[in-house]
Formats: sequence, structure tokens, C-alpha cells
Amino acid sequence: MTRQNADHQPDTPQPLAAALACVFPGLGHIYLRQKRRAAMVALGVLGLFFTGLLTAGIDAVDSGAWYIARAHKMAGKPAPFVRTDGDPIWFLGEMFCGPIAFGVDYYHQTRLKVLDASGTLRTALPNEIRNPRTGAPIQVRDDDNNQPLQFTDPATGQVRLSTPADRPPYVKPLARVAEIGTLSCTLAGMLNLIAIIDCAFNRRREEDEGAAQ
Amino acid sequence: MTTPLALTLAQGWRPFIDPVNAHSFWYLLLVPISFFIAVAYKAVRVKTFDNYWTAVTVMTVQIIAGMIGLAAAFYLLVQVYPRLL
Repeated sequence: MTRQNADHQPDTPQPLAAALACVFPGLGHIYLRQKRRAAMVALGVLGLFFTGLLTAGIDAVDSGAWYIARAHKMAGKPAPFVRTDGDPIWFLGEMFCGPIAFGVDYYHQTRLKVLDASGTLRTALPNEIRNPRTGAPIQVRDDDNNQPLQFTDPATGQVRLSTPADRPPYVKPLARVAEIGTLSCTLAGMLNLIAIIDCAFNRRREEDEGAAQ
Repeated sequence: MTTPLALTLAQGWRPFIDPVNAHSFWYLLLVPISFFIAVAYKAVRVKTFDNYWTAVTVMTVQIIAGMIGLAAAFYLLVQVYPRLL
């Protein structure tokens, strides 16, 4: 069946369009020649996703690295961590945004979180920085009085006193800001799921008439 | 006393990395969230785009009004109703 014929049949299953919608918000509708619908889906889904990121920071997308541990297990390697923090339940919704959500989360897990001596992959504490080579946390200020501590700078290898510029890779959001940011990113994934289903069972609309002419 | 969090944020906010300091006006974030929900939802619901932005505006207002209504109802249930018992 050609695509043109498929376009003229109502409620035709469109698995390729659904798959494309999973890859990027709106891509499925572009395949179905519904460019305006695609643009609006992309604006809504990406607008929500980045509003969430802007509000709560990168901690809004935190899978707990379960897929990283699973990938290591499938490759026959030991998991790179013993324990992890995160919001895997919320990520179940966010992941429907597609590779963007996985990309943001992968960057969060592998470039911003610290792997401490107990094997826990976690957010760096306010008085810690991250060793970019090993991912280990480095204490740079005293927890009791916030006074600068001497530490070995991972960039230069020299021992020096910490400055205010030595700060954690990111700040963990708190209270309502954290809730709203995570909720916004999850709603983005849920709305893209609606768009994926819409593509999968494409219904011919009047917009297509104009596109076909 | 300077807290570690204040010390970190004093170094500058990193967009999309650090959270925004919206603790005093967090409820206003309902507006952009409602708007983007309406944009995406109406994009898959409308048959034509003739009155698309009108439909988006109506849905945005409906969501915000609904949330305000829910907040008022819960306020009555939690704060006012117990005093009447």
C-alpha cells in the first residue's frame, strides 16, 4: 500500500509514524503530512519539557540510572554503582518525550552526579565538587561552618584552598519548585504519548486536504 | 550566616542545570504549564486550525479556573469545614 493510498483511508494504522513520533515530538505528524499539527505538538511538548527543566533544573529528569545498570548487566559487566537516588517512577512518564529525555538524563547521571566511596550514585552535596575524571565527590568546605578546606584540584593536581567558584555540578531543587518542574517534564511525556497514539491510529483530517493539494 | 546553598547560588544561576528561585511565586508557573498543555492537546484534538488559538486560550483558562476552584474547595474542606463541626 502506498502512503498516498494510506492517507485516504480513515483510522489507518501507521506504525512508522508512531515510531517517528517516539523519536522526536511532532515528527510522526510531519510524516503524515500534517506540518502545522506537528509544529504545535512540538511546541507544546518541548515547551512543557523545557519549562520543567528551567524551573527545577536538570534534577527534574532523574531516572535513577536504571537503564544504565541494565545495559551493563546485558553486556555482562558489573553495574557501575551499588545504590542510586532518583525518581524512576516520574521518568516512566518523561521517557515518552523520546531521546531528548534519555539524553538529558544520561548527561545528568554520567556527568553531573557523583559516585561516592560506598558505591552510591547521588547528587553532590552543597559543600562538594565532582572529580570530572572519576566522578568521585571532593569535600571543599567544612560542613559545620562552611569554611574553605584544602583539597587536591582534579584539574591541576595541585593542593589549594577552595574558593566560592568551587561548587557542586548542580543544585538540587526543593519543595514546590521541584514538584512543578518534575510534573511539567512528566506531563510533556504524557502529552507526547497522546501524540504517538494519534499518529499510530491516524485519522484523516481536513488539514490533510490542503496538504495533499 | 551564609549557607552552602546560598553560597552556590551566589555564584550565578545556571539555566536548565540549577533550579530557579521561584519559591515565592511558584503558583504562577501554572500559567505556562497550562498553556503548553493546551497547545499540545488541542493540536491532536482539533479537526482544522481555523479557531486553534481560541481553543487553546479557552482550555488554558479552563485549566487555571479549575485549579483555582479546586484550591478554593480544598481550602473550605480543610480550613473552614472543621470549624463548623
